[in-house]
Amino acid sequence: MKKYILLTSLIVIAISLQVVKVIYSNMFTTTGIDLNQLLTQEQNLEQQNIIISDQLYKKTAYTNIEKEAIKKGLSYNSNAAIAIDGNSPIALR
Amino acid sequence: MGIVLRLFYWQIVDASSLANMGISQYEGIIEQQPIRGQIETSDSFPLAANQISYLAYANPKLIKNVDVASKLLSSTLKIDEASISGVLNANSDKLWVPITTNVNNDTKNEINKLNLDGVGFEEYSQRFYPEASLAATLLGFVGKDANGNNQGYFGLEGYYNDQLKGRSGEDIIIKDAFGKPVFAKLSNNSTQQDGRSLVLNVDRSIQFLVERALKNGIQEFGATGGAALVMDPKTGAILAMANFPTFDEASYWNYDQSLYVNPMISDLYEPGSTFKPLVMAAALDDDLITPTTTCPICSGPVSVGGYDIHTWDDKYFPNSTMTDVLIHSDNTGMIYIAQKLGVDHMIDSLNKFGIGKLTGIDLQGEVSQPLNPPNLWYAADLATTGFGQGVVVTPIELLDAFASIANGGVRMQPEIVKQIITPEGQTINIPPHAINQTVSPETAKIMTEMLVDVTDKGEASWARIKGYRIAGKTGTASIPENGKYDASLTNASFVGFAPADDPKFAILVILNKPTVDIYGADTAAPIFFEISRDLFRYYNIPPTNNDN
Repeated sequence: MKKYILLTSLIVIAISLQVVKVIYSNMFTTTGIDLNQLLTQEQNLEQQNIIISDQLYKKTAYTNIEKEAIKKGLSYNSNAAIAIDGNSPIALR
Repeated sequence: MGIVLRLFYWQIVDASSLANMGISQYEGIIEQQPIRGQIETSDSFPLAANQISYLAYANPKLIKNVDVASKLLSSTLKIDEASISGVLNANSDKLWVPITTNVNNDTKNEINKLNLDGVGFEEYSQRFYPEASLAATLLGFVGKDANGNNQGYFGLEGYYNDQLKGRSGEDIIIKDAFGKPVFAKLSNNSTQQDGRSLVLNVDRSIQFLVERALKNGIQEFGATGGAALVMDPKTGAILAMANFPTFDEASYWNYDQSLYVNPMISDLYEPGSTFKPLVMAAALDDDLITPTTTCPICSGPVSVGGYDIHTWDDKYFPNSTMTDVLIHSDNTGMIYIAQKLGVDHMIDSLNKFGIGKLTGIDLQGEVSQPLNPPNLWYAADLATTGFGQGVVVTPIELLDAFASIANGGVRMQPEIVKQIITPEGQTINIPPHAINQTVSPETAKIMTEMLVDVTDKGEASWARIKGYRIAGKTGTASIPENGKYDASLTNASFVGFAPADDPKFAILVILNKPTVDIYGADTAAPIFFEISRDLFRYYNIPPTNNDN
């Protein structure tokens, strides 16, 4: 009788440990997937940040501002007479 | 027994290869390319940055209808439809065919909306220059080396390539049963490191206004090209470096290779009268002359070594003082000074000014022409060196020497980069570096006053800015062609610094072969004063003279 109880207990313990192992493996995997999604989001945001920075650099480049100033008539025909002043925006005074 | 043997084989004999197979099933390696460091101006604007770009590729086996796909791609990518269909048809058995590079994010999104099977994109980092060709020769460009890796050439991209390029590395990821990454990064031992960024002494606003003034001047005076250099004489910091013609770094392959070379550091030229202040300062420093010493040979042309040397306008002023010699840019007076110096002293003094030596500026491609040893100098060489002909310098060499007069006789090493920023955010400062004392502080002061007189009373006085004390000198150097000088071909220049009492900047302007007028006083000088006017305003420097 005792042998049967011992054997049954060992089997139950073994099965329980396997179940616990499966549960924790799944938890790790799920957390890993969530983590991966967060990291992917982070990469996407970093990428968008780079794209926006590039656009900002292009828009604020002096060469671009001069071109736009000429188009909008904020300069003389032949020259972009831009006054450079550390305290003022770049424009014809 | 068989089972035991099999287990022994798997566990012991073949253990390592089976373990590696297991690892390869759940681990993956991603090669991480480094991001190249940025190049920023002193006012924190990037002149060279990196943008995300895409290579568009196709898997011809997955494309259902080549003609339809080609038409759709052609209108979006702005590429000829026949080219795309030709590539797809010619490679119908392949799994990967490149269509085009330099695809931006907006175009990529447009193509993705078309839901075309078999079309994909590979992301890569591409060098981009927000200010287009501003400071192109200063920056250089990024091309490829023999292994197809990014490599900087010329300028800062070339000189600082090792700092900028970074190091590629590997990241280990864990994959699930479907091959998808579970953990994005496992390894902390990745050798990948992004490149270091550079912060320049160059100021974006100053660079822009210098380029604009120079470009307008070249057009106005019908020159073939020109260069302008602005330096802080107290630190050697290069605030602007401009030249035309130039090229666009983003499409450098469309330009002649001769345009990649920075003439500021790589072109040797005869400086003409802008050289006279150096010779004059050397003679003053040796107590051979004073500003009021009179010239005994200035009443007419001077004969040296079988040559008759005239003044530039054939006008002569007997008994000119040394100050007058500079004001009139009198070649005969300079011959007198050169002869008083003698060959040995002339060579020593010019060497102290750094003439005939590399300045050590942090750019790729600097050259220099050493002075001849004394035994190779003829009498005519001594005479012509006195007024800046028969001797060759690079523009940076001349300005660096001249700027020492503005700095109490201390010659500073010219520097483009002021800081290097590591990817971790650490800042490495590059401090100013004094090279040597060219003349005494007293001589520098005397020379400064003489040069202020030159600006106020010399041939460029018509263009000067009233209310400011500016020390400067014009230069009109004939260009030797086919062994002789052509009087109609000149390098017209002006060199100076301001404000004379507390110099904030030193400027050299050179125009190559101006046709409207060959003289520096009429061409380079107005450009110099235009730049100076903008700099006075930029630095909020008020006038010091009641000179209206």
